[in-house]
Amino acid sequence: MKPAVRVSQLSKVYKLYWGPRSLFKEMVLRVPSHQQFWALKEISFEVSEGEAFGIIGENGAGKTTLLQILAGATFPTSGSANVQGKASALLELTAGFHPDFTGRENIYFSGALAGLSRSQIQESESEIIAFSELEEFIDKPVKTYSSGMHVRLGFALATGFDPSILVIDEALAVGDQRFQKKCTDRILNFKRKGCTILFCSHNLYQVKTLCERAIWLKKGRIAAQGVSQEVVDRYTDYVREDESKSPPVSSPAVESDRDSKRQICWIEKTVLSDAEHRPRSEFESGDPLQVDIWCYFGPGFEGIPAVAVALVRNDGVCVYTASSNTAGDSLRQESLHHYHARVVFPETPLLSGRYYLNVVATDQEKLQAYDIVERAQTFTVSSTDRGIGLVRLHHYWIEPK
Amino acid sequence: MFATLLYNKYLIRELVTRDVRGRYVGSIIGVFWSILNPVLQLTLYTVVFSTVMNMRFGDDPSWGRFALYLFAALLPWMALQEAIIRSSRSFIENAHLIKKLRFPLETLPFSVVFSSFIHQLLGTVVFVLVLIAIQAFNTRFFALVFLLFVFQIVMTYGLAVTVACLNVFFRDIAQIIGVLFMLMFWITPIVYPKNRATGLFQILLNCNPLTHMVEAYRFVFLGNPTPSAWGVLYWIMFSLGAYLVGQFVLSRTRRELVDLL
Repeated sequence: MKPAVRVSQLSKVYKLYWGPRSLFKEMVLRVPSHQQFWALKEISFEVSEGEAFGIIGENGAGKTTLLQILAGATFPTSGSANVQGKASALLELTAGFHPDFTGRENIYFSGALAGLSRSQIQESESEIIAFSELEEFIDKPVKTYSSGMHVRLGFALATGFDPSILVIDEALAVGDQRFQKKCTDRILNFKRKGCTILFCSHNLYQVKTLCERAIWLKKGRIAAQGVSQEVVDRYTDYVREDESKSPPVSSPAVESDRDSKRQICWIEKTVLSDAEHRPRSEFESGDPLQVDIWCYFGPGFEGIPAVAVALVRNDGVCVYTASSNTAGDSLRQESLHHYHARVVFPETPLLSGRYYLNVVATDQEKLQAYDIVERAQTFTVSSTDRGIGLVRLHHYWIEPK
Repeated sequence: MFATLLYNKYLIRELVTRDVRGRYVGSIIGVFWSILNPVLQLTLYTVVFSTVMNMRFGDDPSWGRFALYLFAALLPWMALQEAIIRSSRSFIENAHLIKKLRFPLETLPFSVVFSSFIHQLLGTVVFVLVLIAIQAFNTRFFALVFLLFVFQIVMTYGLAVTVACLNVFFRDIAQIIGVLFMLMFWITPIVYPKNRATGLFQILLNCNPLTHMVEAYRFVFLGNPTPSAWGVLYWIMFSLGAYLVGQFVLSRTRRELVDLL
C-alpha cells in the first residue's frame, strides 16, 4: 500500500531571539543573534493508507510541531513531510470560531478555511448540524454557546467534511460521556471506511486500542517506533520510572554505612531465575519466577532469620510481598551465619512493564528490617494482554440468572 | 499570487463578510456607520478648512464646491489608510488560524483591502448621488473610475502585504505606519488644491504618487483640474511596483513568518 504520510529525516529548528532588537540585528545587520531550539530532529516514519497511527510523548516533545508541519502550517527546516490527500486538522477544534457569528456562519467559514467551495459545504452542512446536536442553537451566535456546545460543533466540523487524513490532537475528551462515545464511534467509523488517522493523545489506552502503530517522541527525536502496544508500554515504563525517581527512597541500611550502623545482618546476593534455575530478567506474563537469596545473619542476631521479597513495579507500586514462614525452616543454613532462601512464584500474571525486587532481611516478628536491598533485581514482563492494571486476575463472565 | 487569490475566492468572500459584518455586529444602525463616518469627517474638514481657514478649490468661492473636491480625494485616501493600518496587524490577529492550518497568507491582507474598498464604494455611491442631485456630475470621464479602482487596489494590496509581513518581525512597523500616514495626509493635496503649493513643496507633492491618485479621482468625478498624464503614469507604475514588492517580501518571509507568530 502506498504511504498516506511519508516523513523523512524531518528536522525543525526554531530560532529563539532575545527580543525584537536581536531579531533586528540578525535580519538587518546580518549578525547571528539567536539560539537554536531543535523541536524535531531527524524524524522518519511512514503511515500507510487506512492506517491509524499514534503519536505519543510528553509535553514539549515535539508532537504539536510535527502536526503543524503535517497540516502544512509551518515548514520543516530540513527533511521532508509528504501528505497525500486532504488533511483535516483537529489541531484546535474551535480555533476558527468567531464568537459574534452564528454556528451556521462559522460552519461556512471553517469550510472555507478547509479550502471548500460553498456548494461542498452545503452538502455537509445538515449532517454537521445533526451530529453536533445543535439544531436549536445553530442560528445563534457562538458566544452564547456553552463550552460543551463549542467543542461539539468543533468536532462535528473537523470530521464533517470527509477528510482523507484525520489528524486528531487531544480531541476525544469532548462533551459529556454520551457525546464522547459518539465521537469515538465516529472515529472508528472513519477507520473502518479506510481513512488514515493520525492520533495524538495523552490517553494511552486509546492509542493502544485505536492505532496499529505508533511513535514515541522524546525531546524531538523518535524514542520508539513500532506496534502501538509495545511503544505505549515502553513509554509508560519510562514515565513511571521518571515519576518514581522524584520521591527519594529512604533505605534504612545501605552498604556504605553498614559498619557505622553496626549492622548485624545483610543480604549478600539475590538471583532471579526461571523454573529451570536459569537466571533471567525477561519474562512472559504468567511465567514462573524463582528468587534465590543469600544472606548473612551475624553473631549479634537474636531470633529466627527470615527474608521477604517485594515485587514492585517500576513506578513504585508494590504488587505483592512474600515473606518466608516464621518457623524459619524455609531457610537453609549453609554455614554458621550464612543462609540461603528460595521463593518460587509458580505463575506471575503480571501485565507488561518493568518490575524490580526489593529484598529484606528480617526476623520472625517482621517488624525490624535489618537490611533492605532496593532493586535487588530488575526484570521486564511482556504481555499481549491489553488489560489495564497490575496483574491479570483470573476471571470469567457468566450470564446472570 | 493572483492565482492563489482566485483559488481561494470563497475563503476571501467569507473573510470579507466576516470583516464587514463583524465590524458592525451588535450595533443598531450597522453598516450605516460606513457612510456616517466619512460624512462626519467630510463635514468637519469642510468646516475647518473652508470656513475657518478660507481654503478654496478653483475660482468658485462657495464652500459646497470645496466639499466636493475634498470628498473626491478623501474617499480613496481613507480606504487606503484604513486598509494599510488594519492589514499591518492582520497576520498577528489571525495567528491562531495561520499556525493551525495550511493558510493562504495573502488572503488576509487582501480581504482587509477589499473590505475597505467596499466602504469606499458605498461612499462613492453616496457621492455620485449627491453630484447628480446638485447637477454637478461629470459623466464624460466617469468610466475611467474603474481603472482607478483597479490600480488603487493593486497598490493598496502590495503595500498591505508588505506591512503585514514586516510587522510580524518588527511590531514597530504598525506604529511607523500610523505616523507615516499622518505625515502623508499633509503632503498629499487633499484639504488644499495642488496648485497652492510652490517651490520645494511643489516638488515634494509631485514626488508623492498619491498626489496623482487623488488628482485623478477628482478629475473623473468633477471633470477638472486636469491631472498631468506623466503624474498619473507615475502613480500607475508605483502601484505595480508596490505589488511586486509585496509579492517579493511575502515570498521571502513566508517560511519564517509562521514561527514568529
